[in-house]
Amino acid sequence: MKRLLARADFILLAIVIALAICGVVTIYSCTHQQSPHTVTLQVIWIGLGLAVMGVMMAADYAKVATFSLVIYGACLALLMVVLIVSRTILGASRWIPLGPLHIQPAELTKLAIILMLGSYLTARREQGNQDTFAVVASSLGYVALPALLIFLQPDLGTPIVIIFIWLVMLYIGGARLSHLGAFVFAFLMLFTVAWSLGVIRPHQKERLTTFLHPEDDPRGSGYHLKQSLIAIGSGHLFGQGFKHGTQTQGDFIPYQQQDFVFTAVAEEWGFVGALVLLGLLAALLVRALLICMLVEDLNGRLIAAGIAAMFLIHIVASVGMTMGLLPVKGMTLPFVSYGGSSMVVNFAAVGLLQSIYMRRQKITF
Amino acid sequence: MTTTHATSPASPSGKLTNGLPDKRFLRTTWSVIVLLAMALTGRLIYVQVINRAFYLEIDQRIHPVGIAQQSQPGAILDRHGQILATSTMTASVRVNPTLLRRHENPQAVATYLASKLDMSEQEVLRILDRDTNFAYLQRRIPLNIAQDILAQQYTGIAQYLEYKRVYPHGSNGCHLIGCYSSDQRPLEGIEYWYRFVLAGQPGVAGRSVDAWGRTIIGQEADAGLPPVLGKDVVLTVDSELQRVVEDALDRCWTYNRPSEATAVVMDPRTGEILALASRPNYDPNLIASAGRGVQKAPVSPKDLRNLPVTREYEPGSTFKVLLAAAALESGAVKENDKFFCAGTTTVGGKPLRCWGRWVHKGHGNLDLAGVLAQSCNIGAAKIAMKIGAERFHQFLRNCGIGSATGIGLPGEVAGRLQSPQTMRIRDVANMGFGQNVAVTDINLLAAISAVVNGGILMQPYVVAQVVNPDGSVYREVKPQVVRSVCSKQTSDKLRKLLRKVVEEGTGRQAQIPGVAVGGKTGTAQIWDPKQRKWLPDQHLVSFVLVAPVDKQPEFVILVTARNPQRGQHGADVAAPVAREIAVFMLKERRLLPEGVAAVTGS
Repeated sequence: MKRLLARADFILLAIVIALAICGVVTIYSCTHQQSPHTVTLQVIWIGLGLAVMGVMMAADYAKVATFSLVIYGACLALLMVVLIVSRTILGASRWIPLGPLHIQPAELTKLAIILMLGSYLTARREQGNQDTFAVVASSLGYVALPALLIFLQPDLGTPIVIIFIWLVMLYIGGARLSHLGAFVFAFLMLFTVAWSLGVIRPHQKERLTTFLHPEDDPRGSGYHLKQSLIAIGSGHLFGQGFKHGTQTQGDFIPYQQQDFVFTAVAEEWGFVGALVLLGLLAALLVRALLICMLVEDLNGRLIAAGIAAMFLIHIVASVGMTMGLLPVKGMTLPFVSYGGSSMVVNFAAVGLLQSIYMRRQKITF
Repeated sequence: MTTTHATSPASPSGKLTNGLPDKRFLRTTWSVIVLLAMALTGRLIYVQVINRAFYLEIDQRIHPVGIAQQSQPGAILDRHGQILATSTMTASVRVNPTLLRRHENPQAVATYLASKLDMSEQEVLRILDRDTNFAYLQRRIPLNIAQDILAQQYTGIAQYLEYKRVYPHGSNGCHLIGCYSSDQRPLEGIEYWYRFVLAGQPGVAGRSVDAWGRTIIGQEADAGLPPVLGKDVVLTVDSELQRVVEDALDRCWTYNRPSEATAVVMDPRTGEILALASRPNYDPNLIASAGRGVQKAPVSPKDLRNLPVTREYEPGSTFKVLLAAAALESGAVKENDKFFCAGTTTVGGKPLRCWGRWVHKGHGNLDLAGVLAQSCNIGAAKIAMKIGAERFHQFLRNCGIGSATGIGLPGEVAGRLQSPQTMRIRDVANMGFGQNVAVTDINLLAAISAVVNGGILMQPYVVAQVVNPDGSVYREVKPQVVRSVCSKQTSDKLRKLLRKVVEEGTGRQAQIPGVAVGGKTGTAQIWDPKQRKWLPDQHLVSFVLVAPVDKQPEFVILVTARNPQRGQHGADVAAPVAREIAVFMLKERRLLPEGVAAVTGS
């Protein structure tokens, strides 16, 4: 065991802890006036996450993968519970109230899907028919059900994350690009139809389009983006300083400790600070991809690719929306944003990566 | 899952024949990441470095914010357009003590301000020493004084313009007009009842704030809504008459020293209230201007009470006017029916006494006119019993006794009228001379006006018109007939009876030579509901005066005084007040014969 632990990816661990520290500092700056307990909670989440990561490192990811169907089923059940009993918070019911905690099954579902797809694609690979259209179609089934349940919450961001994970894992798993392309096309068609039939709710439509022209609606959906841009823009090279960002401290940006955490960093720490944060995030991705490349086991590689894909889309969406590159979609920045469920799940994901890295070579006795 | 796959040659499509991707595909993913990273960093550079000035400027300044702009409340006018209440622009001088201390010598500033404001130097200094960024020095002072202070250009002193309610007639008509509180909110009277009509709508002025919410002077946005002026309310009151009423009541107030006094004048033909006065009273200007630097207004809650509509009391003998009307209208009593008063009698097993016993063993035989003229209680009790509980009650109900008139003033109470089912014989007898029944002045006045006005009960009202700011009429109030309470014949007969009261009876004090005046005195015991007993030695004396009574009366005056220290009857306390008012009104209407004015100048 000791030998195994010695083989852990300490660079990845350092990156993750550095990101978490960035998050704690920023959250403190954002919330020390209104709700000083937020930062304490975040530290607790990080501690919890580290513990979960430790468990995942100790466990063989291959063993964990054998439970993938159980985990997947549990997630589906939890998503049902969310739809049936959860409270309505912020116009969307994504939480299961559990005493003082609110857990977000959608976060765990991402990881469950990664494990599920990994097992499924590995099994198909062993049967040698990993590149048929049938695999693409049936694997979509695993993804579509939770994505739909999450979409009904309603949450448009997480289904997109799940679809992206699915695309990347299938691609790594050996599916033909033409098949995937067909599905992407079909998905876009479906989305267009859903858009015109009104399945996508007006507030979601607004959020999806205002990033193109935030000035149209400066008090509504465009408000977020406009204030975020002002905050980032006024950060300049070295920022306005810790606890000194006018926009951040003036509470101009809603959810700045969650989805808009990058904005706060960019305003208070400036271009340099933002670049450091982006660098750390890029390093996280690089480590995830390195693990993906190094591992010889297909399941491990698929899981690593899925996790990398999950981090990638979260980072790009979260950072991109604060700068008006992408629609404003509630997307957390891994390890930095405030939030218990996502923090624990992200640490669990890193634990899986570590587990894969540590066992990257078949141990020969 | 062996290394052989990874090392086997890739197909041109980039995919291995067995489908396992090689490291080159991971490199594609790499390049995707690099591209994304470049996009994000590029955007970051664009926003944060290249376009920095643009966003920084937004961050540092301009956020337009709307602020409410006061609208001028409407005025209250009398029936001839005299201003009874209006709003004028004043300045409130405010100071930033922290800023001022940094730039000025507080002692010098305080010395100057004390010479200009209604404050002592110490008071000013106390404000200037405060560790705050905002304080009022004095609110709502004349604009010219504020101009003088601003002309000194002290750093940290500024003014804020706001409206202040002004009452040119002071305490005259205060209970009717009402008042504003020191924070300029309508509190009482017409001011309160018509607060939404008078208020208008605040406008929105453009204002700009920086990121911290501080106002930027000189950055006012041009988009704003102008305030909508309030509407004017025109009363039925005649301010000239009101002044006479107030003066007459003041004389009674100081000479007879009652604890409460009221005088109300109504036009029985229309129901218009021509004057309304109540004692104790107050100067609404003192309330409206109370605040820092001004002494607390010497006004107690008692002073604010508008007695003619908010006080219910047992009217006593003035109620016999309604009794007589009921008697004549019901046909229960003929004009020459006689009622014997021996000074005391027994009704319902209890003795009933008449003041007549002090004169000479009772009033003896009296007809209806005599009962009224001598204000004989035993006679009145006998008449009431003859009319019967049911019919008397029905008549009083028709006259509006026991229900609020709906005059349109805050706090009106309904009075009390016992239902005939629960009335014992004693209750009926007591009602004959105005006990066991509670009325307000307005209530009684409206009822008496009806029975002398050919039986037509008019809706009493105080607001004649609501006028738009541009002068056009927004709403006009027309006289409104409530119902007919008795026949014209009854009314005509009744007026003759009332004339007799003044000419030969207890109301002689109200005689005006050359004019047919009718009236009725009243002296009532006061029931204390808390102690559940009649208050000893406490009386409410009153007088109702109707003129002229030889034709359709033009006005009815009701004067009441509670517990006067000097004088103890309606005849000697209230009648002179009513007479003084009547003389003025008759003179105004040229109903007073030439030469009489000199004779009656009291």
